[in-house]
Amino acid sequence: MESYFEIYKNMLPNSIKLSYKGTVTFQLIDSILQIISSRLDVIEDNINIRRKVYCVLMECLQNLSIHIEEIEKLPVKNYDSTCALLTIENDNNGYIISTGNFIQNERIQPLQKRLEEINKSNIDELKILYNKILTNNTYNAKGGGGLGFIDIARKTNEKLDYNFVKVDNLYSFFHLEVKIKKSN
Amino acid sequence: MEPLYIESTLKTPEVKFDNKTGIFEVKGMSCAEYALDFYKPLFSWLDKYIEDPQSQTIVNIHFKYFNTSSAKCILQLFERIAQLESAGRQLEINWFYNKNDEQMLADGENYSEILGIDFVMKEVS
Repeated sequence: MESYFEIYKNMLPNSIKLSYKGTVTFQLIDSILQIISSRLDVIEDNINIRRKVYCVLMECLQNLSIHIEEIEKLPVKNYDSTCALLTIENDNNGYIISTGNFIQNERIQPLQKRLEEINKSNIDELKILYNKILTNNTYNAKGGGGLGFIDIARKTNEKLDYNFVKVDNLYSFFHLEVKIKKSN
Repeated sequence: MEPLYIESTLKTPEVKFDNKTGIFEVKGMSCAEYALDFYKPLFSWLDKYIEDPQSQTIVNIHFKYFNTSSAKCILQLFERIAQLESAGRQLEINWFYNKNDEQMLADGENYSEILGIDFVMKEVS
């Protein structure tokens, strides 16, 4: 058995590490945000980075909860489709937020198209894209109408890392990794 | 028509819309997952106010944070308020933001640009 103290010692003094697998309810989002916010107040001096991590985490979590609600109606075989995976950690460069959730295969193409469009856009183009969706007068059930990923890309000034792993003919697992660098 | 007062929660802002004085305030967090549910009553109230507004309306907005679910709703709110100016009434919009919150300042400027209405930017320490 690896010494737990060794793991502790190998972590940065001002580190944060949280992993969660399970369903994502609105209550859980509040709890996670509260935990991370309290820890950030202690370890992160830069208020703008604190704000960014908080905002990006909230968008990631709210995205997860909405997608889980959508998939609940059609459960994935062999897996609990309502269980998502979430990791928050930091290193010397900044913070990394990762999320994983099941997605219907038919929804991959439009999502991938949107993510690719975001990733090929520079900061000015992202603003144009954001305003285009902001002003298009359509709402999804959430109310945001698809601004979440653009907002994350604008706030982090980083490309969105993602992949889809096929589970079966109906479903895949969507992994999104968001970096918040201290230098940006 | 009665003034609209809504107390703040952890996820929704405080709202004080006073049709007698023409002073409107929205202050706090706006990060509910389904923001539209919160904003719909505000839209209905404003639609009524616009029918018989004061000669001058002052709008004070001070968000600590708003999520993307709220972003469109906030624009809808402003679009209703902007109708006052189109109808020849005096309108003053004050956008408050916390010190060093560059993002919130930029968000205010963006709304102002989209609407074509000047906002007074006010930093709060």
